[in-house]
Parts: sequence; structure tokens; C-alpha cells
Amino acid sequence: MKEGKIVLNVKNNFNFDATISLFGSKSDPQAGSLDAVTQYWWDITYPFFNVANFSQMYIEYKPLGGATFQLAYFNTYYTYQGILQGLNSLALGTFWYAYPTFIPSIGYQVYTTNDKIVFGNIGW
Amino acid sequence: MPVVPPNISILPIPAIQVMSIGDVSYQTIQQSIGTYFYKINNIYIYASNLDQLLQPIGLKKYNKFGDKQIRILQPMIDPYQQSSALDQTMLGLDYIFDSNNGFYPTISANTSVNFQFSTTEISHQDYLQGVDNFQNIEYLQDYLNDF
Repeated sequence: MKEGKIVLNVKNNFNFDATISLFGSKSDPQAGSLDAVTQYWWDITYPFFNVANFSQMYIEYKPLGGATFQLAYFNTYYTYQGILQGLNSLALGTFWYAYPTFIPSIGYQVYTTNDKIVFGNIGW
Repeated sequence: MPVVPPNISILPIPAIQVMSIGDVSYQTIQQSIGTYFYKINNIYIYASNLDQLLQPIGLKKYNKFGDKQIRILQPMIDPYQQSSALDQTMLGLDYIFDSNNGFYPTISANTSVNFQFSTTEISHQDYLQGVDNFQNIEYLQDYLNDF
């Protein structure tokens, strides 16, 4: 057994917070550095303010031309994240905010071999 | 039912950059995991702003039953200290980069962070040593909680 040091510099060029996986599994969509990412961002600040919880928030999208893709979603205040694959629409389940004064910001990163995905809207 | 249209933007290449400060690149370290495992003893985190230092770090780990466990490491510093670096001990967490575990730092927008992992390089032989049938095995020892 040998003692040592691993020194990494991680730079985020995003305009928003991001969570990535370091030294994770190769199948992790966020493993290592992120290449070009198409970002779909919904500013959903206001309607959530007075809502303690909501359910079945959804995003509509259409994969075109059989594009394979992964969608990772995260919340900057909750490290709640996951991967969704091959769905035509997705429901995010229930988010619950213990502190209604938080401004929740939810971002979506799309990992795809091409950009043949049409995104619709977010709603609930 | 409100509907909010998305703002669409294409992020620069690379969106998030991971660089190893040293002779060995991050990719090489990443690929070597599997041949060697790295037990994390201590993490030194340096960032130019306080907000980044306080970002939570997710540690993903699989326990002996194969169940995924995520522990959120919440770095704490004295807010009046205006410190730009902190030492996070991993003592007791028994956390190892074994190619399956994940280390999920949250990086603030347009920020760079420096992580220094103090590691112990462990070979397969050492890593797999554990309780065997010739030792006294307590029933339900380490039940569920490997973290």
C-alpha cells in the first residue's frame, strides 16, 4: 500500500451550478468531464413560491430519428438527480420544499449523439 | 396548469473540465482504477469563493448487499473566517475509489475548484481482505450501514 495524492482542478464553464461524477462508473452520464451539452433551462421560480409541494411535473419531448440520449436532471438545492432514457415524456415525481422561500432552479442536461431531440415545455 | 417554455443554450466545449495537476492525467488515473483502488483519507478543497467551499458533495457507494447508498458530505467552515480552503477528513467513512463508487461534487457556475485527495493505493489483494469464516463473525455485523 502506497500513500499518495491525486490533485484535480475542476472548472465549471456552465452558467449554473453543476454536479458531476468523479472517479465514478463509466456508465455514469456525468463521469469525468462533460463535453458539449445542450442545455434546456426553465426558469420556474415564481410559481413555486407558494407551493409547498407539487407532483407530476413533466417535460414533453420527442426523440427524432431514433436518437439515443440520456437526460440527467438535477436540482441545485437538492442533490436529487437521476437519469431518464427513451421516454417520450417524463414525470419528475414529487419535489418537496421544506423552505418555501428557496428559489428552486431545475436544469436539464441532455447527453446525445446528435441533437435530434425536440423539447417541448415544462409544466405541472 | 402553467406551462413554461425552456431557454435553450449550447454550452461551450468542454462544459466542465477536469484537469489533473501532476504528471498523470485524470483519464489515466480513471483508467487505472480497477487495477488499483484508492482509499481516500483526506480531501483538501480550495476554491476562490466561500459559497463553493460550502457546496455539498455526494458520495455514492454500494454496500455489501449491492444496495446503493449516497451520503452527502457537507463541508463546514467558520463563516466569519473567510477561508478559501478546508480540510475534509474522511476518517471513518471508509470510502474508496473502486471504479464503482462515485464522488459527486457540486461546482458553482463559472467557478473552478481544486481537490487534493490524500490517498492510499490499495491492490486487489489488500482490498478484498475482510472477514472470513475463520474469524469470529458476528451476526448482522455492519448491518446495512457501510457508511
